[in-house]
Amino acid sequence: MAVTGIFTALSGMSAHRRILDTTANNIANQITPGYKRQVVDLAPVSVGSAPAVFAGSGNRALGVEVVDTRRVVDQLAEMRSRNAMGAATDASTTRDAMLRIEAVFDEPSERGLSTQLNAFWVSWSDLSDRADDTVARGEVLARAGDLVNRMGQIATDLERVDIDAGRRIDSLVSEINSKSAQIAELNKAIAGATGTPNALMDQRDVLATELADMVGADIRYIEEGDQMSVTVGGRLLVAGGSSFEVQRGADTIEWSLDGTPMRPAPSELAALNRIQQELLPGVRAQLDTTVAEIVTEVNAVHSAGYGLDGVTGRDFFDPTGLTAQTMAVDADIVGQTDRLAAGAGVLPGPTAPGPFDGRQAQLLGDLAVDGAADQNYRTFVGELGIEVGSWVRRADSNQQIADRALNDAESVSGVSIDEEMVRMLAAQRGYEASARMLRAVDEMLETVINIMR
Amino acid sequence: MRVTANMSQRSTMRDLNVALERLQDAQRRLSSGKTNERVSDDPRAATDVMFLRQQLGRMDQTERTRDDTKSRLEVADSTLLSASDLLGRARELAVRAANTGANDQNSRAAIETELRALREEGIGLANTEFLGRSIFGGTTVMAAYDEATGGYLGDDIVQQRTVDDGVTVAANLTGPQVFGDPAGPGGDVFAVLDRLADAVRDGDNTAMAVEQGRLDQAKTQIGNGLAEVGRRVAQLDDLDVRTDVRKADLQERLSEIEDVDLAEAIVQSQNQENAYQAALAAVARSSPPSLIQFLN
Repeated sequence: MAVTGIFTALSGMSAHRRILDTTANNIANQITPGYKRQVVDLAPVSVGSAPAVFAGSGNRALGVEVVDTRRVVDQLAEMRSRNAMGAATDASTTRDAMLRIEAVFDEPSERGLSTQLNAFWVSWSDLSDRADDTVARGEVLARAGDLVNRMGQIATDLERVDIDAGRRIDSLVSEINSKSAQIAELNKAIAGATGTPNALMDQRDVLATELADMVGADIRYIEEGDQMSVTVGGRLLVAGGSSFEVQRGADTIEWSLDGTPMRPAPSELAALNRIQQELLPGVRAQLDTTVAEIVTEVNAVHSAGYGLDGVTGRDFFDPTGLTAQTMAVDADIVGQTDRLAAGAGVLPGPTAPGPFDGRQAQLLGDLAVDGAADQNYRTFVGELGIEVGSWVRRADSNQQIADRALNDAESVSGVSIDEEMVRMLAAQRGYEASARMLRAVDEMLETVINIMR
Repeated sequence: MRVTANMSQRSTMRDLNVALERLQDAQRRLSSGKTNERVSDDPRAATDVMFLRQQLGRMDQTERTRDDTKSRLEVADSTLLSASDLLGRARELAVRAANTGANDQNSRAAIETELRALREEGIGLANTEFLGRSIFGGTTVMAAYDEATGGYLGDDIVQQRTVDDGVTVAANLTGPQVFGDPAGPGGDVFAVLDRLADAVRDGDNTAMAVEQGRLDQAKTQIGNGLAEVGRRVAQLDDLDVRTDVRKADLQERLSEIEDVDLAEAIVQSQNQENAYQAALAAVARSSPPSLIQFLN
């Protein structure tokens, strides 16, 4: 009986040592990303829960055993946090791109397109005062050149936003493939591991969180949490020990297996797709509308007027350049100040045409208010601002939601120093007490041995 | 809810970041002097700013047009005044010639010479230029009147200038408008002077009386021209005053929208700085108290 006592005390010592080990591990990993705190599950060891075996002597407790060293995880909170983080990344990626687009237009600063447009209209009005003045004519051409350059600059800058989004998608492909392959490997390793491979599970969770951030992956556990399966848009990316490759398609990322595009949940990829397929084309279309309005309105008035050389019917802008990229001053006009049609086409008097009266130049200058381009451009900039503002706010609130969800998950799985200290004290005392117990049993045995002498 | 070191660290970092961001925002406002740098800060205000800037740009332009138009009209004004004086002198001469009678050949010859000189001087006045362009020649690039024959070389185009949104003022008077229609019954004033000189030379009193009447008509016409020029200049002066008021209004509105209230911005920036420092101090004092400090 006393001999059993030795082992009972020993089991207490080793169990408490395990607790101390785990506490040490928790403290060491308190800021390790993805680390989930671990607890030691203890259970009493009792022999004879079936009375028939040791009949008569009753149940005897034989100490404590370590059942498991378990990670403390709230899978629901983890899932919420992953989804919320995907949504936050989605909104913040979109916001960053929208802020860049907004900066491209640089309104309402004095460097913005509207300032250049104003200067262009005003140069026509100035020309109308001195219709035959070469300097005033040169000024119109210079302002038109500024306007065309600015449009081209904006188009190029928008293109750059597009290219950057495309590059990020390129790099996402290899990241997704490598991470899903790693998860599959970890699944295999975990299935084959003896004991509880907590560290491997932590690694796998980190990868899963990253995938959720990148493509809005949905994470599920099968076979009691041993095996992780990852789905994107309802399709399996990782199932047990195997993963499915993705590749760069024409527009976005597609499944290598059959070439259908990935349908990501809110995530970085979803945001990049949105930027490339909705937001940028929308902005470009609006800008091109403005360009087309300027070109057609100016040409309509200009071609009705007369140049200093008495020729009418000339376009001012190249009529085929109706986009920001292709807008250009007509090749006939470039550098030819005397060809600007400042003179009115139809005159009240008998003398016609009158290239010096500047009436057509005045009509062109008045397009600033009579034309649709200015007003529509302002409306477009206002709408762009509203949209950017809404993404800024959405990114903000999504980040807050994500922070809260992360805190929820963290409050379950995070390491609390206070808690670990308390556990350390308890384990220390338990260890000391067990050791003391061992001595007591030892003394008892000594007494017995001495009786024999 | 359990609170872990990670959680308090994260929220501390976020709070500090927010405080710093606000501080930076306040300082940016203070240094740039503008409330909104981006359209998304306040889209409505931004489009208003764009519109107001366009309006102000156009007002600056119409102001230039007004100045230019006024200069032209003022040149026309002084020229017409001289022309009017000149006709006055011509009329005096005509009256003297009528009183001299047919006998005094020498006096009539002198008067004739002076009348022809006046005609030439009148044509010179009618060819007055502004920035290299005849002011009475419509839109022509040539002289308004032929120096030798006195024939009108210009056109009858009236140059309408937009001097304010929707308001146009004619910047010129054509030769026929002030000096008479060369195709009219008596021709223009230069034809009248020519015939008057002929009549004086010939001692033709009847013709002299006819031309003297036409001279009076021509003088009235120039007077009308002067009145018209005066009316236009007055209209432009009036517009100057009114647009100045409107421009000041627009500038005030623009400033209200985009300019920072300096006192407010300074106070705000100071507040944000205090808030940031307080946040830093709070972090330094409070993070992270733990049981470790009490064990030993």
